Amino acid sequence: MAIITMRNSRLGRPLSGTRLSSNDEDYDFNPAEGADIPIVINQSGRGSSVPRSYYDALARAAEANAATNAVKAQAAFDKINLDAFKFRQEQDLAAAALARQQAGAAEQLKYLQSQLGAGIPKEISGNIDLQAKEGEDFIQRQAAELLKQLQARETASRGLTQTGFSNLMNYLARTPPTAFAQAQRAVPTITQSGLGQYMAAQGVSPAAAQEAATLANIQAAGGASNYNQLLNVLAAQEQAAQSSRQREAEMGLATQLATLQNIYGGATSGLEQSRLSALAELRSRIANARLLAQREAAARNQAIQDAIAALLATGLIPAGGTPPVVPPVVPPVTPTMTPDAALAALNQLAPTNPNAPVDMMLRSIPAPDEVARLIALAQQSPQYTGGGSGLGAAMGNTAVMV
Amino acid sequence: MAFDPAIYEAARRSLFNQYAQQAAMNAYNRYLAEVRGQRPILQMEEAAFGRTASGGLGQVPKLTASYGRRGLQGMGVRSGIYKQALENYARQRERGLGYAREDLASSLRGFDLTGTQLQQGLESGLADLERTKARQIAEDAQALLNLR
Repeated sequence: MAIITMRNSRLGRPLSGTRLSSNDEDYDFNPAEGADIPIVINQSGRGSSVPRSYYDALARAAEANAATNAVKAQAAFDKINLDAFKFRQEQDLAAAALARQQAGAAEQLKYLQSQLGAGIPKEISGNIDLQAKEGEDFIQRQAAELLKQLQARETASRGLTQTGFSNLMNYLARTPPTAFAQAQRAVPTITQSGLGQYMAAQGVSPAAAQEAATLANIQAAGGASNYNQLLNVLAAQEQAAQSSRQREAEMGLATQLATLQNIYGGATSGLEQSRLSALAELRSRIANARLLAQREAAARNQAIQDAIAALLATGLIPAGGTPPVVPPVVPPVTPTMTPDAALAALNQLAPTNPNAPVDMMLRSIPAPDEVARLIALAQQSPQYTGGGSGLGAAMGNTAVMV
Repeated sequence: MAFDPAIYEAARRSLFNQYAQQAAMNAYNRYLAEVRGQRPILQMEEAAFGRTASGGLGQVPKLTASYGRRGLQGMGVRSGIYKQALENYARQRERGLGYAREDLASSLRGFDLTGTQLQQGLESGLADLERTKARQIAEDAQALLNLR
């Protein structure tokens, strides 16, 4: 005795469960139930008492009881056609869903392809360009305004300096030193002896007195001359100091103007340096923004490509223009069919995608040999041979819808 | 420091005030010196001739009167002693007057020189003030240019 998992199916499905029941009303068919339950088969001979499936059980029962063959066969065919009908419905729904998915996928592909290689969005690119232009204009305006203010300050400073030193030079020219130059010069007092005339009247020579007066006059003249000479020297020094002041003012003006020019040049250079630095900073930021936008665009492009690849990988998009999958037209299974024709029709119900949900429904389709046996039994029944309105009429009226 | 004209006006007034005070003091001292210098001159002149009732100098030196009382001088009398004494007196008198006048003149010239120096100091101070003002204006202008 061996333990075998039955997978006897031309459709590549596992064999149905082994649940058996003689009462059809209690039958609650579950195709998946018991699919993996190992079935113990007595391989000692054909007379094994364990049916392989529900249809096998029906066939055995029909064979065992000819009177009930017609009913059993009718039930079996009804079951087959009902399962096929359900399968057909599922397949139609699946086909419709597949068509919708394919249409959606085609639209999605179309959209993704339209977005592919779009590059930086125009709004972002335009915004970056606008920021670059406005930023540069702002920097240029600021620099121009600062330069204008600097020039105004330089003009004002130069004017103030010139005014200050001009006032000084005008003052020096307008007020020459006069203290020593115009100082009262000493005039020696020349005196005569007051006793000369009296001495002459007294018969005394005035020479001695006059001599003393002359000496005094000489002394007075010397003193006055010295004083005047001192005043002249001091006046010359005073004039020299005035000239020195004037030259100092002129030199101070020139030096101060040169200093202002130097400061102005330095400030102008610094301003220009600041302007260039600001422009460089702005351009660096703009370049970084463009680079970031390009990076994001590349990432988005890559994501779109990945999405297209994933979409193509689903198989919903026909490669090379392959038309969408169309379910095959399956002829109805009727008792008038030959077993081969019925099997052929049933085999066409096999899904193209083995992982499709409808595959679960296919598990309810009986095995080929069971179908053949059921057809054979049905063709032997009185209704089929024209004896009544039972199985044959029912079989004819309940053809599998395709 | 920002330029403030009021500061320089105050400094100008201070210079003038200082000059006025010192010049006034110098003028007063000159007056005192002149008075002091004139006094010995006047004394020497008065010593020779005395004073008249009206306050002027007399016509006859007082020296003559003393010699006359001793009979060495008078109408028709001309002694050698008197002549010699008169010569000596006249020589010393002129020499003394010369010294006194020169001392007075020198003293007054010193005050005049001081007054002139005070005036020169005032002029120099005013010029320095103008220079400082111009320099301050230049520094303020430079600070204005250095504003950021």
